[in-house]
Amino acid sequence: MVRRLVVVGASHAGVAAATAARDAGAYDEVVVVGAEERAPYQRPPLSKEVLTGAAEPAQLGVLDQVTLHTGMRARGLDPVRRVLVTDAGEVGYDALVIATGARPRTLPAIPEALTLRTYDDARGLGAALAGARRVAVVGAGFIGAEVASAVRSRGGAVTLLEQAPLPLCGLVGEDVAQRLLALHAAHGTSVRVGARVIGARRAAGRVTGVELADGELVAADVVVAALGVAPDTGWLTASGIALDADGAVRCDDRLRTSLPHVLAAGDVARVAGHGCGHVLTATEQGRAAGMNAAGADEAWSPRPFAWSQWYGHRLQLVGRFHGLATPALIARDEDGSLLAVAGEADRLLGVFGLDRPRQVAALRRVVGEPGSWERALEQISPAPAPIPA
Amino acid sequence: MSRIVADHAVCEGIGMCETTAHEMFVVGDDGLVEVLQFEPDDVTLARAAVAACPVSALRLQD
Repeated sequence: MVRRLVVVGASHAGVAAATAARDAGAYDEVVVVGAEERAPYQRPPLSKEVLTGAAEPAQLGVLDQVTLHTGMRARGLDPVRRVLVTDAGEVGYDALVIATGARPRTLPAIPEALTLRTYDDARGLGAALAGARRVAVVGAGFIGAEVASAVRSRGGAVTLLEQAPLPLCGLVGEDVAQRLLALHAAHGTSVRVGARVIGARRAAGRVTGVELADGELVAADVVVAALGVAPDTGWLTASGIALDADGAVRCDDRLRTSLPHVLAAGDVARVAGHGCGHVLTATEQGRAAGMNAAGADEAWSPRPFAWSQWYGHRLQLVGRFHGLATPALIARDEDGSLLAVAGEADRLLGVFGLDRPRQVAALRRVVGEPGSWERALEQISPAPAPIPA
Repeated sequence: MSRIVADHAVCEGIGMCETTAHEMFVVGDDGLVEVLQFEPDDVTLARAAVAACPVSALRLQD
């Protein structure tokens, strides 16, 4: 009998799972099934260099001794017969890792709105942006901000429309969120907060503007929906696997789902109550899932790290700011850079840096450790130089 | 002999290389990748680390 691991999904989590399981050597065959036609590629450049046309995304992972099926879409899972159903037939498994990721949320009020998730999305969006006179981006999170940044890098006009009163406030805290809002303004991006999109104005069948609930019309010939993602689990509905209310596959910290021999990782999963959202997390979860499918007992614990590029500035976020007792402390410089930290008791739990890679790197190593708050305070207000003896 | 080349202008200090091959890479105190082994013993592992970088800051030169 050939022992086979099947990984469904060929992006960051799936490739990490497949290569970790292959390296562990517990299976005769490791099969990766990917819906896209393209071989696995790095996703972070899509909203950055690929959008501006500056570079192509690099290859993702080294899949030697892994059987890769591209352009093959999962349609269902039969946990009793241990079979993955695809649009190209059935694939039997001994163990299976679900890593189908997520789909971008669309904007029902404007069906023409473009989204960004795959390479094809990025190329299509890049071409649309290049030909646009005015762009409206609905959603001012990281992806929305990166799209706005790409438009501005070409000198184009762009408006960010955000329903919340202060974008990214839940992620980075109020003070930092205010600073990031000011960054958009400083680089010529117009931002409307508290904006609820209700529809589009059209002329000759083409979008000419976005209508807001307060009656305002925002001129735009290209509309982008950057509203986050929803887990891609429609194909699992009949499998009986336990899903959360938003459709995410529920997992324990060993990446095990409710079905025997089935694990999940990345944006498709909610692992021990945590969503994914970042390539580093997806990769770590994928690797743990692959190792556990091969007989290991690896626990995954959250170690969130995200980065972004806005208007040539480097943003880095470690941990969290939301719901912490200690308010965020901020050190800022005349050059516009800033470092923010937040914690609880003696522990540093959140770090945000704008053009502060050294300090973020130093603090990232100690986040969550007892006594780490002391280290954070040193970075925020450096100790006075010792008096020479 | 293959040689690892790191581009500090694009490195984000994400640390995928360190996670993949900690004997070859470390994210240094300046927040950027530091190559510990320029001529890797294990070229396969080096290839994996290079392919793990989301910002393509690493290359393996022949």
